[in-house]
Amino acid sequence: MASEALREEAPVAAAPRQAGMIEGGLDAIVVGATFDGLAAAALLGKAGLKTVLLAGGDASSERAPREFAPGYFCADGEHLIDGLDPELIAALDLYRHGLAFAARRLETVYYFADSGALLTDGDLYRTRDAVAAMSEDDGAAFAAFSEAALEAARALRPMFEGGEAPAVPGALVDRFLHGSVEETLDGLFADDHLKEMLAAEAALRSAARPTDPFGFLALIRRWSGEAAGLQGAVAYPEGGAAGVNKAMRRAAQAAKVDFRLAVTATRVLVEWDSVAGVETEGGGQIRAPIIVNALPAARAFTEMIGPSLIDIEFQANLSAPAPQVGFVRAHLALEGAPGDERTRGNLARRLVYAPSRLELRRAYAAARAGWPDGAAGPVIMETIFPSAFEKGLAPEGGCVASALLHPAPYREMLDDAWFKAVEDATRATFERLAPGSADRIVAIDIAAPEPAAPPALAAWTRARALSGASGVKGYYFCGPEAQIGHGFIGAAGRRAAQSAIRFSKGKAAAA
Amino acid sequence: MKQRRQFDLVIIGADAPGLAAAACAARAHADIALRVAVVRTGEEAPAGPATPGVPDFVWRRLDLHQSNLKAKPVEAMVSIFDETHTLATYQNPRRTARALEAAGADENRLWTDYADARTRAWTEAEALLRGAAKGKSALLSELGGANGARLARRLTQSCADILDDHFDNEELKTHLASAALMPLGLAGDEPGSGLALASAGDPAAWRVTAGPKGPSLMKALEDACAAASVTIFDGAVRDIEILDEKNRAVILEGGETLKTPLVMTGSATNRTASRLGAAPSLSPLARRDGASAEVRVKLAKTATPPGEEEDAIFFAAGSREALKIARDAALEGRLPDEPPIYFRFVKDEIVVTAPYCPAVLYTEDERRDWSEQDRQALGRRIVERLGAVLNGAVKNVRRVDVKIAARETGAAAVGAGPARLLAPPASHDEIGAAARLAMELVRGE
Repeated sequence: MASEALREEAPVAAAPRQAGMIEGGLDAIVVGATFDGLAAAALLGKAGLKTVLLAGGDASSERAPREFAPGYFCADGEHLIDGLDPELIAALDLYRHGLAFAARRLETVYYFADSGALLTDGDLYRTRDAVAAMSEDDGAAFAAFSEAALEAARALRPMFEGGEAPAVPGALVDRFLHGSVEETLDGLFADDHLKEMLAAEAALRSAARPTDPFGFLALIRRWSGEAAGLQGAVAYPEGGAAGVNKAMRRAAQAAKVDFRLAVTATRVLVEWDSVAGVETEGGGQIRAPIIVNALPAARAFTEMIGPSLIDIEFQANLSAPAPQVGFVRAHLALEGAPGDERTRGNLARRLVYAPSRLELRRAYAAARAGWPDGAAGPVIMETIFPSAFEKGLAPEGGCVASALLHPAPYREMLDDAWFKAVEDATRATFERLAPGSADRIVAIDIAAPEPAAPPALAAWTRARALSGASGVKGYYFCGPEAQIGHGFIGAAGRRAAQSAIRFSKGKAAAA
Repeated sequence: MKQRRQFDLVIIGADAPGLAAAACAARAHADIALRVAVVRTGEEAPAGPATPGVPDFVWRRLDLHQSNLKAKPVEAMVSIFDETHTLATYQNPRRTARALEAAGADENRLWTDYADARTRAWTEAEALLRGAAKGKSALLSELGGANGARLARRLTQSCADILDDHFDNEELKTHLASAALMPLGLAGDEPGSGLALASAGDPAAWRVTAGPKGPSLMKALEDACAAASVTIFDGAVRDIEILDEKNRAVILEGGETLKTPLVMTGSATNRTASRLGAAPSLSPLARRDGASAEVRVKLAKTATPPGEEEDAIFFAAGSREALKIARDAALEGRLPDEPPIYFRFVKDEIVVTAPYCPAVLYTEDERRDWSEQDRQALGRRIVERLGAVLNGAVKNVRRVDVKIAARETGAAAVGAGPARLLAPPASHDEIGAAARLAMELVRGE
């Protein structure tokens, strides 16, 4: 180790303070200032462990709103909360550290291909009234389904957090576990609008086509979460994604976590079969018996530890097929309120375009084919208007829409044609939500695509495996692969921290 | 009203799996005579020469050796890439190894590894799928077990990932994917389609019965049913009702009512089953949408198969991508331009299956059912495709018959009630799957 550190002396000149320095006396190191990384650090600190967090220069998560067109501001990252881990909120007292909601239990308006629309309550339990009004036949079926689904979602929550499969009885749960979106809905309902609305919710950000087995579970996963204390609800956090990250950072600071914003860990030091610390960029060492890594699995294991030290069977979990389908976030700057009466009344709601069955199948096929001729038609689009919840995001009379489009091809290299295709799809689908507002769009800001979530069961397998035995003691993982589904959840960070705390207590007891 | 008759098990669908399952169930106990009924609904898939193989345990239990039935195993599965270029795997593993050696030594080395892993995967998954088909809510409890995560991986892994893990040779991957996926109507990127590779390795998947001479498999199975005192009813099933805590009533169109504690379907893709609202199959191999077309091309004189492989199944997919394109087209209600097909030579006929056909067609977003013109157009396209694949060997076509077997869309399945209808898991060994399920049901396992 020492000779390696010496060899690295030369480039170290840029960061003289760390060169060859060895720092000790710590209980835990958290690598990566992601939401889960912050959560893990906060919990470790709160448990009395002397913890440092190495952010690796990544302080982007709390960036102030970005001006994407003159006078129009948008926030990057998640625009809604639907599953923030309640145990984490309680353990860290996140509300005291500034977590707040500008809008709780957002009502959702669904728009359909035949230009119908349905306003549903923010409380899933009350959505049944809207459904009953829309379809007499399916009203009772939906009431029974939503109750069963919410119950199943609650029962399966430990699994969606990356824990063990729970021992709950019931054939209904089994059916939700393996059915495809379409066949499950066909078996339950007759009304096309109802099926389209639930299919859109189940397919949003999911890689599984509506005809793929195991696809329906994505909806149960979403409904297992809660927002502002209500299961299956959706809320808009004050300050957007940055606001949530900020609350978490404050919680970590209150727990006396030592933040090293500019320090990047390059390697994990392994001595015998246990972690001993990390090597930082510049050749320094920070030593601790516990490391929680929140970086992507390929970096956390293959690059930072190296294949030779990792259990052979464990390595099988590190390779995953490249994602084909992803989703895209787009921000729209609108001059004046949207054109039609209907949408103007809906600015403080969540708007979802629910494509017809054929449109959705086509959208998946086109996205998988990589959009050779642009988007084939409308896609699922979830839109909110942050400017309706927070002041100062748009000039007087204007508004900002934050949209999530799914499915789109997932790519790492983006070209002008790709941006053009996304912009066309955004315009075309937005027109379905707010007809006549096309000429009011001043600017569209498009972010790089994010990969869609694998089927929940497959994601669970991987998350279980990655948070299990890597063959290196004291090493805990809460990177993106440890999370099942999308959104601010934090359960992976909490579970990693809890395991680490148990490990630490066990060591103390043994000593 | 006709009288109500009591049975121990009613099987809907008198296709080969249904008949075999009925006869096996009736003989499940040595000392008790079980009352088993089969309903011939008239919606069974056509029993062409492409009938599935009969696994050994069914063969022995039904004494099929006494039936004069000539069991003829499929010797080879051959993928045709172009006129002269083919790739084959054989029933004889050593022959497969030799063939792969000729294709590239690296693939050969991995073959044993691959085949072993698939066999293990199928044994494990099949037991679970059958348990779940019996309504035991097995999946969640199994996932909670020690092997839960591994099992979930087996169930959700796609065919494409497994093949990419093991092999480099794109033609070998296309061949294995074709043989495993096409009979099930899958394209290989679906979660769980990896099990198709595992199921395709099942020895029964290789066996085809009904040689050109001797009684047909259907006849032999009907005889076996008669010998086991199985009652066969003709008529569509109107409904299934709950009678009391134990019994259901299977009501036939003719008004006949069969009282039974157990109702199952012969095959996983039974049309009646989806109409009556059977729960969606746990098996990821069950076809979710789309139809399969059987096209019989009758020639003026007997054609010679490529390489003179009489007892082979020929696959013409071209590439793995072509399977996906065809599947996507079917999902969107279109016919693919170059449909992937597989076929067998039977006397003066070539029996072609085009597994990726839409269940309903869409023209300019208007939904419509298959018409006679559509069938003819498909027939022409298949003959054209055959001509291209076999390099002009298809001459003097006398007649082309097209049959479409569509999975009923579940639109009518609303209110899938407590009258739970059991279905065997989809697999390459349809007869074995149905027979095992039926026997376990009557034994109360």
